[in-house]
Amino acid sequence: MSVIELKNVSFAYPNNPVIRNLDYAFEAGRVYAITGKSGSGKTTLLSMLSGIMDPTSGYITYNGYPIEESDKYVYRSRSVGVIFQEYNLLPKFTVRENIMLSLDISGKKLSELTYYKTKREYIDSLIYEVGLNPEEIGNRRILRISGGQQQRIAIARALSFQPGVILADEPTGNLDIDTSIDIMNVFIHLAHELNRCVIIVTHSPQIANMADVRLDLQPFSKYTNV
Amino acid sequence: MFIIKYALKSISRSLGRNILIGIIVLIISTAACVAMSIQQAAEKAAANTLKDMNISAQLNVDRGYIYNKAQEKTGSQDMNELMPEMNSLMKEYSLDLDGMEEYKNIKKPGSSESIVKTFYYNSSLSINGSDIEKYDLTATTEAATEAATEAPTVQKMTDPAGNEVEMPTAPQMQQQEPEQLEKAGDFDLVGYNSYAAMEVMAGFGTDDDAACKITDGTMFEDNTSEYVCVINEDLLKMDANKDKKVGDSIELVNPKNEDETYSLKIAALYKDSSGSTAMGTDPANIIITSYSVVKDIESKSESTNNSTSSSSSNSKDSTKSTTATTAATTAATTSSSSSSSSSGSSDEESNALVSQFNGTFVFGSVADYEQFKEEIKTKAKSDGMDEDLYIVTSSDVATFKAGLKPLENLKSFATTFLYLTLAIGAIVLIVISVISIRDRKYEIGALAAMGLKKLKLSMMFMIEVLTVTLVAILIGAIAGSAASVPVTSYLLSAQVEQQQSENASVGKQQAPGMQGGNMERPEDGEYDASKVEYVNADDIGFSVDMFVILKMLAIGIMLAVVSGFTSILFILRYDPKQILANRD
Repeated sequence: MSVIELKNVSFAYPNNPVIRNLDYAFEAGRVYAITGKSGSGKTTLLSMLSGIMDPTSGYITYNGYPIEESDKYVYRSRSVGVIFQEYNLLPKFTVRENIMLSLDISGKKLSELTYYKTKREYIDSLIYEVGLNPEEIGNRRILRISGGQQQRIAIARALSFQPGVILADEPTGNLDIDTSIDIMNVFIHLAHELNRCVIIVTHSPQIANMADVRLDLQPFSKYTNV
Repeated sequence: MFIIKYALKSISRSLGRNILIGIIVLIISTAACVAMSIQQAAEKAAANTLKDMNISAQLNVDRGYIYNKAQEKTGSQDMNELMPEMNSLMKEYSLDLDGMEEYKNIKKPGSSESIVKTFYYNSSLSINGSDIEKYDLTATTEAATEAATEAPTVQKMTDPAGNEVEMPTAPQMQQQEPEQLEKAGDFDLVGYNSYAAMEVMAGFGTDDDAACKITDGTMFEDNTSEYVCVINEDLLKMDANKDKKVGDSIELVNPKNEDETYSLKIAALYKDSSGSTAMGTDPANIIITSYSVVKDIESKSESTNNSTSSSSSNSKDSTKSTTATTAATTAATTSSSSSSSSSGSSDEESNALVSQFNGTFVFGSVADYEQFKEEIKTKAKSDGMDEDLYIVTSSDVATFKAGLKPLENLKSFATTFLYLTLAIGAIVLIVISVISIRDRKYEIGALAAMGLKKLKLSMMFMIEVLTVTLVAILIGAIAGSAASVPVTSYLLSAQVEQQQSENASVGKQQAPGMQGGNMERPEDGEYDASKVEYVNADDIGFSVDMFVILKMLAIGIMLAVVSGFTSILFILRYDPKQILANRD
């Protein structure tokens, strides 16, 4: 069953059409890798899926409902977890605070998400889930942890409110290959074990090959299902 | 709720920036607190004292108005040409007892109660003594003469219209018309309607700080028709007067008719420690009697001289008598010539003594005094006269306001300083906010991308600014409260010193057209600078009260809102996608 679906979606910057008449349905429990040359519209597509940008024509549905009609902020804070290329963690807050902030913004109650009694326990479980030791790094400021750890914390933050879709823009772009593979394994685990729909944008063929579905985006909206 | 939590965390995690903002707000709030406590203290000091102050005031013809009228009529700016016209106008408009009584009965608006609490009056005559010598310290007179000789003969003055005019100084006038000033009597015989009038108008009393005190004998009955008087004990220092004592009589004589004498019994002696030279006469040469006696003497003088005037009406003496009246009128600041004794041209030719009427209104409060000033204008208008014809002046209010002047100057300075500080503070805070928001652009983009609504984002920034500002304001209020006393004491002392040195150089503050100086009249009339008690810091509590705290709070909120809204404007403009895309 499709979680998020593109319906004849087009997007153009002024005098520069990028995506034209794109249709595609993303399903839960699978990892999608979107590849393509620079300027093919990968990041633009991800921005539209995350609700940060609107298509110039066509529309996107989430669980069958067009996201344009819903409150974009609610959609972003409750339905999609976005992992940015630069992680976009808040450096002045600690690891735990960054994750908790995302959870607070979603407005979801703890009881809706987990059997843990406290937010701290739940957040520690998320840190543990992405392969880090919460006791060791939980109270560290973001700038005091490595790039790989920051990427994992960005994933934990995206998972905190248990969105149906996880969007990741070049999640391994700044990481070495071993760490990149570790991160991909986290995504695969989320999709296969927790039935999330994971969509990543990547330049790396090796990372793309680990995904369940690889979509090679061509200029002007043609894609190849590799 | 989480917004508050993260806003507070954000403050603690960005200490450098917030301390900088805090210091700026602290400086602003400390300065504002000092400025406001000065303002508050000045207002309190004035309000508290004036609230229950009994105010005595005089109603006079406005000499500035008369000066302008005389200029209009004569088309001249030469004082020698203006003076006769001014004297004529003064006579025409001056109020006698009946005229003053009308004003005394003005009611409070919408009430049957009179605005005036009490009305006191006196009448004075310029007279000579035949068996009593006037008090005269030769040394003082010589020094004064020397000073007068050295003084410039022409003085530059500004008329009420702002034009600079030349006015002859006293010695110059004396040279031109030597006979005029010689003809004023040696003594002022002043008749009061009651002892209470003497208390209010001349400062009589029994307290230690009373300006005049009875030192020997007994005060005569109010408004007695008996020919009794009270004389200054300094008069007895003169050799010719040494033998005079309470119970003896003194003989007074009309300066223009040596055959016309009046005998008054000395009921008491008084001491004048005011040092005042009111009415241009040495206080020792003021002889006090009752109003009835003065009016009786005036009446007798009129009948005596009317019967003898025909023989000498065209003589040189007639000119002298006119000038004597003129000199007396000029000397009395709040007086009006009695018109009952004579009228028209016959008045100028008579040798009869002419009394000067002088009324004092007492008010229960400043509000009544101010109301009376308004009612005077209204009444003048309704009587078909110019509303500026009469002025009400009060040396009580003028003296008190003069005492407050340093504080008022300080208040004015504090107000300017406050506005300047707030303006500069607001600009600095706006600049810091703009820079801060640009620095936090990425944070805004990340939070917006995570789904935090712009409204909540704005609230988060506003809470941050508000918290920092309020904490700084609170510390500033404490610092300002502590600093206000020494700072204000220092500033106020400097102001008082400056004011005192100004007063020392100017001397007694004069009403217009008197003895030189600027012809612009002080709002509440003349006052004696030596009697001014300046408000100093010890008299005033420069504490920061709830009103100041609330004002500070309002200022804090205003500054926070100004800088917060600047942040919000930027936040609303930012698009998260663009922020995150242009992170570098």
